Amino acid sequence: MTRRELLTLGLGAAAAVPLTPVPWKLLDDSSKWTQNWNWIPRPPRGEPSVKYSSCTLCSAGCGIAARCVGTSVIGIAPVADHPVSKGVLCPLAFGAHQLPFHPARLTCPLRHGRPARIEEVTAEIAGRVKAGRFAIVDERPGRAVSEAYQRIAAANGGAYIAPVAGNGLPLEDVRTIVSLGAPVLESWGTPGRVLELWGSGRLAVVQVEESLSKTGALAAKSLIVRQGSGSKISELLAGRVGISAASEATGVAQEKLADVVQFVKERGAMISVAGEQPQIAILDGEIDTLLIDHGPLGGSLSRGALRRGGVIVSLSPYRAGVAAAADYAIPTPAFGEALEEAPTPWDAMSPSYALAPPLRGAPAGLTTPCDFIAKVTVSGETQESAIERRVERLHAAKRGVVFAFRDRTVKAMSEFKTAADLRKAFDAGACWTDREAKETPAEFRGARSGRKAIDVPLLAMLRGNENDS
Amino acid sequence: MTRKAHRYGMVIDVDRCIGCGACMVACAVENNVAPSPLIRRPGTNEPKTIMPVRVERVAAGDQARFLPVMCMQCEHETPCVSVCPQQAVEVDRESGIVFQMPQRCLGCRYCMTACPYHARYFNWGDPEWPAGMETTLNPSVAPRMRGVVEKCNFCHGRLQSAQDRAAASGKREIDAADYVPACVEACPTKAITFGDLADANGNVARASRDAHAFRLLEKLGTEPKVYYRSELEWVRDLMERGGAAQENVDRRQA
Repeated sequence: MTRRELLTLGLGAAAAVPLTPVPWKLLDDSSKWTQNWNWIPRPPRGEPSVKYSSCTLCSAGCGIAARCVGTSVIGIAPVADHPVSKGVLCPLAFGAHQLPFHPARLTCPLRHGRPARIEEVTAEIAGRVKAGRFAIVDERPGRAVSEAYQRIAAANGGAYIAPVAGNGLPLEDVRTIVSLGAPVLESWGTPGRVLELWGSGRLAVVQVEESLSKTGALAAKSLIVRQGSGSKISELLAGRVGISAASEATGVAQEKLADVVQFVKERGAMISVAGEQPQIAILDGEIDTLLIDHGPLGGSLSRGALRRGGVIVSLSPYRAGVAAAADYAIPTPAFGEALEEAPTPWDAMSPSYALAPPLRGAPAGLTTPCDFIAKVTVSGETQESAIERRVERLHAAKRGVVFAFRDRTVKAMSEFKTAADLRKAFDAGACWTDREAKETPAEFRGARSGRKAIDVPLLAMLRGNENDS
Repeated sequence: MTRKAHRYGMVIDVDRCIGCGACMVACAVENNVAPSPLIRRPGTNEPKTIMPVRVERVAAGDQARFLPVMCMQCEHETPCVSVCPQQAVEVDRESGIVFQMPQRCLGCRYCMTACPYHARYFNWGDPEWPAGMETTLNPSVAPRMRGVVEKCNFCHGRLQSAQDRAAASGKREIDAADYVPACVEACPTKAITFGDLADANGNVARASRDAHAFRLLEKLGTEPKVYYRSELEWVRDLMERGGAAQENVDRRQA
């Protein structure tokens, strides 16, 4: 073969190949191979099981059934006969088991936004606490741990700061809820209780607000009023002002107001609720070190809620909100990584208590907020000892009943021979409630969570939040 | 072993839906739907992500209602089945569920064009989860590869599990309570009733015959097995007019 013939053959073959199926077949095959490459995650394998627990992402403390495979939690389902949540969960709870893997997870301690060693920051914070006045901010009051914080503060000359605890709402006894801007139909209160009453038609919502919200759009009656004039509607319904005065103050037509008055009158018993978020009073200038327990969701305090009067130590699983701007950010266990508590929801009329046993192991080196605060204040308190005290007190009171979901029983407290037996039931996800109690002890009361309702799918939200943080 | 033929369907009470999105989250978790970047479709607020269930907001004046929209499981002349060149979509004779088989799908997206409900989504990229989150995936549902179309299949993994449990206990038929799709389980106001439409005395069949029940784009004659119900005349009117009333349908995510 001559050189010319070799070149002709080579160029001819190169020109002809695209006309054959070979490159297209290779393209197709390589597309299929890469579609099924090893980077597609493999779901976990193992023995299926169900663990009962409580959701501790807000103060409602709803009952959850965690579907597990081996040591992994693969799904969260509501517990149908739960005395607090009545088989209902909010959207956030359905993805709660995925929150520990949120891209905004705080993986190491931060000092002024820069990674630092835990031993160093612990020693620095302990030094500040010893030298000046400190305060513990508890975003989730009503827990046994909250009592431990109060003891730590009292013993060391510090202050204990928490949002004002709720007094309960007698929703079952009313027919209409007049909401002055409260997001009643958006994961407000205990969703199971509120939505059951609303869904069955026993509770109607009259929404009074300055701009139309989702609750307003769904409410039986919705009034858009002038800024700051919502209370006039309450006064109108209470008969303290007339329709014309209320119309003048709120800017709502008299016919519309008359219609709402008639509606409320026809339905009977009414309750009025306000929509403002809980405020935490920070004693600006008097505190040198602020130790903040945000809870497993990372807290609802906004950065603006804290005026800088001293050093802020944020105990949070996520680098978001206050933790992103704090002087020190200490990583704590996320949902399901450590033992948590579910005290009485702020809107409940009867006391309840449950534990949220860990569903998976926490990353190495994380301590609970209580144990960290005890360490820097050189106190003998621990989360475990605080919970033990609460369980012993509940057992000694011999009141109420315990719902155990694993063995589907409801036992009177008197049936538990020892506090250890009761603790065993709590560790299996049981919930105690005392429906005959006339009032809930103040230390059992949760405060209203400032968490905004989640109205976008959690999984799609993850990437968005990554940018926010 | 042959089983009785079912016609699984659902009735969604629009008046009880609060648009919270619990159905969407529960569906994503159950079906291993990977989180996607929030890229918006041009001119809308709708994320370009996979949502086997999405919640649409319809409004009239200061009133709004929310409609969870998923695959309508069309029974007659199922549009996606008739256009698929790969036989990757089939109507299961035993359950009446319209199945999508990703292994057969070549990604031509004819089915997406044919679906009058926009209930199908294309997997534009490899499914990716944040580090560690793959340990939370549901082993009953295989993650789908890039380049295929996805849709709601009434949580078929749950139906198979229920059938396995029934077979293990020597039963031919599953207990109705054993098979509940994730969105139905998650709905906090119990707005979704799920069951066998072939059981004339069952809850779902009775609810579908309610005077206030309707189906989306019923005039197309595809006989969807997802019914809606509302006592509000403007909602029924809007839905029966279908495409003509798009100016009132806010297609953003609820």
